[in-house]
Amino acid sequence: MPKYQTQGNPLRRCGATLVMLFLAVAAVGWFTTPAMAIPAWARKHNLQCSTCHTRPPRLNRFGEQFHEMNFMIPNTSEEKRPERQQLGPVSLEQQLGNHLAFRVLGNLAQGFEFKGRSGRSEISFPNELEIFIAANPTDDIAVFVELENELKELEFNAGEFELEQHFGLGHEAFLMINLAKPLRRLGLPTMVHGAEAGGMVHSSILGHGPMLMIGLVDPSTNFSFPTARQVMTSLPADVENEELLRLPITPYAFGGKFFGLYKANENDPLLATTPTLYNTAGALGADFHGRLFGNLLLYQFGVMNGANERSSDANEKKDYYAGLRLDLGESNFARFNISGFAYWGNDTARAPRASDPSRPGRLIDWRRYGLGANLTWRWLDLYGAYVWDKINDEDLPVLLRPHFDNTASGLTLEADFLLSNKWLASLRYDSLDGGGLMESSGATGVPGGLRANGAMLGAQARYYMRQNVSLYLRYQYNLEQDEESPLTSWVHGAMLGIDLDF
Amino acid sequence: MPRFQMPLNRWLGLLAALFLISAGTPPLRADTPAERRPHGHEQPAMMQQPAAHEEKDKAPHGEEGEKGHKEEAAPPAVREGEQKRDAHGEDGHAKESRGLEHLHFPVPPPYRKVQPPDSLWTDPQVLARGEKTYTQFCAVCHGVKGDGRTPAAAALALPPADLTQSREIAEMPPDFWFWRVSEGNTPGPYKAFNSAMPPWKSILGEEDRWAVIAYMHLFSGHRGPHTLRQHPGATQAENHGSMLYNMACTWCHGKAGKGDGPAAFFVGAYSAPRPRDFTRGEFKFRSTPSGEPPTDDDLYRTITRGIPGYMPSFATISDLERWMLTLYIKRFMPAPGPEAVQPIKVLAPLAMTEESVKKGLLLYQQAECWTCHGFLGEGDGPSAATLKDADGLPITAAKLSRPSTFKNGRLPEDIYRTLMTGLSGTPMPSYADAFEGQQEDVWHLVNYVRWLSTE
Repeated sequence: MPKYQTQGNPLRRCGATLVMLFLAVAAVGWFTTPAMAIPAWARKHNLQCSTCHTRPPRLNRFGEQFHEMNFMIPNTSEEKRPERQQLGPVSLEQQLGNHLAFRVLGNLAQGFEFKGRSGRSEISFPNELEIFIAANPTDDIAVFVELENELKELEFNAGEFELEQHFGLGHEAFLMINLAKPLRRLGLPTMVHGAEAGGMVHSSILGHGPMLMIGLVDPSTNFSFPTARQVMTSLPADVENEELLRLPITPYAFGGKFFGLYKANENDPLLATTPTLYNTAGALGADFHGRLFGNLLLYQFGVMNGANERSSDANEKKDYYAGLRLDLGESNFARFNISGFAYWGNDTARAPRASDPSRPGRLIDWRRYGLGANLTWRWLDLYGAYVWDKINDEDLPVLLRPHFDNTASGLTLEADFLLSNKWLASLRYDSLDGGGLMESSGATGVPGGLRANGAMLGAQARYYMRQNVSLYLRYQYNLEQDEESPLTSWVHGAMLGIDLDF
Repeated sequence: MPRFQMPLNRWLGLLAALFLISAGTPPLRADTPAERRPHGHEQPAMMQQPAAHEEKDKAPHGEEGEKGHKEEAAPPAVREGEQKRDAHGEDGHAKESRGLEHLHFPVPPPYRKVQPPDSLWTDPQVLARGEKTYTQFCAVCHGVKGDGRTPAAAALALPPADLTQSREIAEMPPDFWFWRVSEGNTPGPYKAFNSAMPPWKSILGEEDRWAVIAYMHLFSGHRGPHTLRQHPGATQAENHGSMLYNMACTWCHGKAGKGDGPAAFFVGAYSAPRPRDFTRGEFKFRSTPSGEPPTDDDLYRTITRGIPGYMPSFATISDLERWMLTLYIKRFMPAPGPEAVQPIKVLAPLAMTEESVKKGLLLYQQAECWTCHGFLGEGDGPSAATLKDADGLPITAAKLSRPSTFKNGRLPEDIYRTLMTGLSGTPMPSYADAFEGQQEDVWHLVNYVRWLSTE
């Protein structure tokens, strides 16, 4: 552990404030009468959050089934719910609140200590405000739209980093369509969602789907470690005087991993810790998934415009991916699943120019392969992912190839332990074997820095005042410290935050 | 990988077309009442095709039948068993068969548990009498061979039952037979099926009805009731129930019904309720006395309504499938005792008058309901904080001020039932003994509980 500096250490400065704030808010929560309001799905079905979540935002197995099957309680019909109002060919809930949810997520206070420079601390408003609109106009179609106001989105303008407020579509905004009926109508063997048609059996294969998600989708949503469901939430970057002090803190397995790359359709750098490719939490595309052999096997495949392309089709080529997930041992309060995926990104990012690496060059093909697993047993929820990336060497400028590591990998392991109905303890380890521009290139001023390796350890205690309102106290320690890279520039940090879902 | 050049707008167009096909496709769910409901002797067309395993099951049954009846006048099913079954296997409903095979509504009083004398099933005179009755009244639809393949049957909305189906016949206990033959298509569910089965109670005497029931059993190669154990393998109804269960229930209740599904622990990690362990045979929500297993209706009711806060309602799936789930869940439960499970008797409710509420208040105090539920029904009585369930998990007392959270239902009769049966495995006792002989007081207490509502 690093020694605290006697002066300028933000942890010491804000430590007391953090603890007092935490205790004060916890006390408010403790003595507050639980409100009736709960997020849309739970409100609609009159269920507690823990019916679908181990603890929000992680899904338990029932919640996953609900998600996989068009946001519906398995076997049931939305159209027949008496609380719905018929509007032409579709029907909607009479209570608007059953279609809406609201989330506030982010740090209330945080402090970071940096290597070789003074620390930074701040008291802030939570970074993310989200509104979810969710509806099942019919049994076969679900709509899910996330609107997000992010206070600190990292922008790169005229060669300078800035944190700016951004409002728009969030991580996911899609239609989910159960294709079983139309495909069956075409004579293809399919399995109908639910059981009302008695059609889940075909040639002794049980299952459901296929389901199509189209729009802004998170391809990893059915993976053993979904990108968007982090108990230890992602932290935005730290910027000072247009300089990137610290990269965003996200699970390293999901990140871009390469240093010196640029997004395909913009001149923005693609940072090494920004979730991308299969782990993009919202890219325009179409995802198909379904189950075979009962609930044993989940298949998934999809096509996307390209990672990080939310509203355009700039590269004119598509990315493809496919994944499988095997679910085993779903009894004795336990579940185990293992997933694998492959993602073929075509022209999905830009390499740096050989002549001037601080500017984007030609488009590259990028492959990503990953393995994930999740074991849940009683109080314990263990999950992790190992992701390996490779950039097609031939796409790199010849002069750049000796100075560019075209492979990278990341590992993220997390354990959550439910200490009581109200306390959830988490521990996460991240390791990044970075790729990209190496020091031998002689490049300077590359946005996001040159190739580096990273490792960090995080510990968090979440206090659930209610199942949908939690405070967290988190400590993040950087195991690889080097002031030369924004990946390793920080020593450690502590934060107090809130995750509120209504 | 191919360099795919199709622009996004074409992708979207293609997917929009799929969307439109989806939206324009008529629902595949069973929309006709006949397809939605459990049935009696009649089988909807979609239920007629036997499963492959049932075909396999038939050989030993036929042999058994032949051995069992070789000294008697061989019934049609025994004489021509295999040939007839082969013919059935080729019927025209194969493509419609979707696994909604066989299921029965619970037998209502006064038919429930009525039993004929044991000698009925083998008495040659009775069988001869039954054959005569059958030939005269039943064969026109069910056929001389009992297979329901007659010209008259072809015109019926709901085809008559195939009496040669050993396993299905085995599923029907004598009281069910007697109920169906007596009442025919007049009870609610069968009326809705457009069943053509006449009620025979006004035409045939009780003895004649039993005689024809005994004779009809012979078509399945048996004399009298037989058990499902004589017919190994699952019916399609059981398979379908299994599918429903595995899609929706197994996550909490576990594959073996032990309440240990992968999501179960997080529902009740450190406090009650945990999902029900069916194998224990202990159920909270019953209409039966404390300690007794629930009736089928109780299970069906819980599946239909769900449990506020903890279990989703399955009211939107068909009646038939809810019954399939009910029967499937019963497979996890301990074998029932010899005595029939009888629900408690519920007296006619009393109006919620001021006088009744006042009496209820006194009873609320005398029965010490307030020690858990609090004086104002806020669930904050002096004992509330120490309550634990049978597993030692902390459990909260119901907030009587919020009936919508009542796990056993908020209707007056639900509250009555809760008071009289208790909630097994929880600190909520049954007050049946306390109110014995004065059940009217229970309604006063019910009225007081209703009065406490702030909703």
